[in-house]
Amino acid sequence: MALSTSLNRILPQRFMGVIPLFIGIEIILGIAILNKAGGIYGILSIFTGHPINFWQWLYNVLSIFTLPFYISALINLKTRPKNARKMSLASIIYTIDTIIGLLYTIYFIYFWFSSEDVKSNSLDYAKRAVGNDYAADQDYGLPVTTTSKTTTPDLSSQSASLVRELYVTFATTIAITAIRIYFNLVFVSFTKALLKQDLSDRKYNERLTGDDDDEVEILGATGILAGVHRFIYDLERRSKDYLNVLFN
Amino acid sequence: MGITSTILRSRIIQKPYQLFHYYFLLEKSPNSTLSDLQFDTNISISINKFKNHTWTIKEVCHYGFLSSIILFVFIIFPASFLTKIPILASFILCFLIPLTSQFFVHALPIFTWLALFFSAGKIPTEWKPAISVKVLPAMETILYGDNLSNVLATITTPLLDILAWLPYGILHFSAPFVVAIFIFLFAPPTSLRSFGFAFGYMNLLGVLTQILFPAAAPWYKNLYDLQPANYTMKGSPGGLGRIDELLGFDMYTTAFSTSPVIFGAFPSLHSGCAIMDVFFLCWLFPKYKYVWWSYGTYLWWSTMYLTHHYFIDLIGGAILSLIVFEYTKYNHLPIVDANKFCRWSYSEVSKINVALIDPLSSNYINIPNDIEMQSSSQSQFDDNVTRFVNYPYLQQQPSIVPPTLQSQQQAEEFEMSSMAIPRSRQSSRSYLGTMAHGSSLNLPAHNEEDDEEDDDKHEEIVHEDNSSLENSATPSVFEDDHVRQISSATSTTSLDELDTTASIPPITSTKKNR
Repeated sequence: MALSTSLNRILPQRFMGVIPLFIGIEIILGIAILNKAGGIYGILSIFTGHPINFWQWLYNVLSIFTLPFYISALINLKTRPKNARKMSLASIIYTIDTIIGLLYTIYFIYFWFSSEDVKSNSLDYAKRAVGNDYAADQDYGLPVTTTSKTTTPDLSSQSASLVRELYVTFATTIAITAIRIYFNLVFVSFTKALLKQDLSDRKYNERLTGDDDDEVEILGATGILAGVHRFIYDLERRSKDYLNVLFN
Repeated sequence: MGITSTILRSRIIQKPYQLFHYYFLLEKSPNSTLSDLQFDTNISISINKFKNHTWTIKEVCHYGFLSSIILFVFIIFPASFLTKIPILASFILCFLIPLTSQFFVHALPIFTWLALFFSAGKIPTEWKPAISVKVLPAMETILYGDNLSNVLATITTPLLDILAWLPYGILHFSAPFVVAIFIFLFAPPTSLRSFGFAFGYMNLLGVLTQILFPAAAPWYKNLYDLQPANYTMKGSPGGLGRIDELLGFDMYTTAFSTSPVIFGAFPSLHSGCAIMDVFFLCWLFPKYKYVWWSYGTYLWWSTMYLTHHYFIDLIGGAILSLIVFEYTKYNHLPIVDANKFCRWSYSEVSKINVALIDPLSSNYINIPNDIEMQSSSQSQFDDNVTRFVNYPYLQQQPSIVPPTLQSQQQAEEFEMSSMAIPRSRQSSRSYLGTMAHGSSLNLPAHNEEDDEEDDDKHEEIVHEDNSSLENSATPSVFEDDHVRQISSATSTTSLDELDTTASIPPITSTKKNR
């Protein structure tokens, strides 16, 4: 398949060039889990009364939704053959998450510069500056109307200029986006290698007819929770089959 | 002398010692010195070791990096050289005396971090980079959709203030010491060195980032609304100011107003320290991982609620901890054996062999989740066996009663009887016994007499490992000889190994040379 050939060219074989992929995945999933925990704090705005719009609310919900899949993948990272299906689903979710994350990044850049940043710039500097021993840099904000009485060239140089702040913000956003895409490639690379190995194991070990030990337990259980487990198990199997077709 | 003797014999001293002896020291294998501490005070020993030490590149980087930061602090700190030189000399002396060096050498990253942190305010202003006030709130909104600190600090009540103060203002400062004590008592020997390394480096790298990228915290936005900052400004206790008002005295206001790093919002070392504690606690006590992570998320909430950090700062600190912990785990940390009770139960130290746990490796050995869980399930199985099988060894155990209820003589008798077989090995032995007597597994019958005979044959030496920074596996540049003397694994260990290898493939690279 064409996708497989082109993928092989860009998929990293080691994390950061030297580290085994599975350690890279541990770090990537760890960072993803820590990041997605932000959704829990964001959704608390329902209780605190902090105003958020629909898209912010949706972003928090999506973060919480991905959390259990990443945690499950991290826990089962080194457990063969279960990890093949777990990583397959996590890999697909991570890729979708990357795409959605990129779109959200664009939206939130617009959100910050269109509302939050303007809000802070439009405040009355003079009112807040009086009584505080800091200086307002005239280059700093567009709507600067006055500066503090304590303003001196020396003190103003201690604060980053507006241009510098903008540069750092954009540079960091681009760097984080690039790192996110690289992490995604590492994730796909690891999953691809895992699936290849899984196929090989099954080929040479005919005893492995089922997926793993969990299969009997999950399919035999009853109840609402068991239904959820079955649904997720089914998703994992489908993800694995889909990626097997895609990669081979 | 008489008073000292009386104090030492008093019940207040004797009782804790007896309990400690009963629960911990009795675990020690008679021929093992692995868990022993150094009590030598002869400086010439350290100097000779230093002279004969073969330096690795990682060691040079490690000590070179830390020394250069200490030198920087030494130069910039505004005090007379007549004051600074004696302080530095006494510091060096602590590194030379074997008794103190066993702690000081491994705590060097922590000392370096503390020295840099408390001197950061003395760095000339013209050397410091410009302060960012907008980057963090902008990045927070771009990456997480909102200012989460604002979200959580929208409503403040005295009850929430106290709930936030407990982890941020109290637990945070005591938790590392508690974790260190747990690690010293319950983790394999050399683990505390790894904690010192990881904790110190995480904080050191964090403070360096804070100095090189000075940024304002959420309290600054609330007070000055993202207007330009300068280094003459004072800090703010944020939400902790309300605690001072509540308690009626100045516990935090002055301290935070005169903090050495006022614009050190990113990364959050509160988050970094808490998450590092969580990583080590999960590593040592995986059974309670939900408790440890609850503490981490609790501290995160309190940090944002008190307007001390943006969420991106917390993530920065946590990622720093994750990276440093991962490095430490695969390079320094020994493997925890769930069948072992405490530090003194270990007679050998093993480290992770990456090739054997890499699921993509052809050498991979399937272990459910991790070795701790495997050991844990094994331990549960052992417990079940001992519960239902009438194993003779257990019947011979004379005293399950603690020595507190016995006379000193009885306690000594107990010590003699249990010295040969520590408690952490009892369950595995019963399992072995059961198997050897009647199971389908043909394990070699291995009894105490055999153990004693094999002691000499199985004398094992943990060799120096020069493959890392070696504040973990190899104690330090001053402790090579000591490490070479570390003996491990008499025949009692062999039993454990039999027990383990009967069900668990050898997934570790044990540092020993038979």
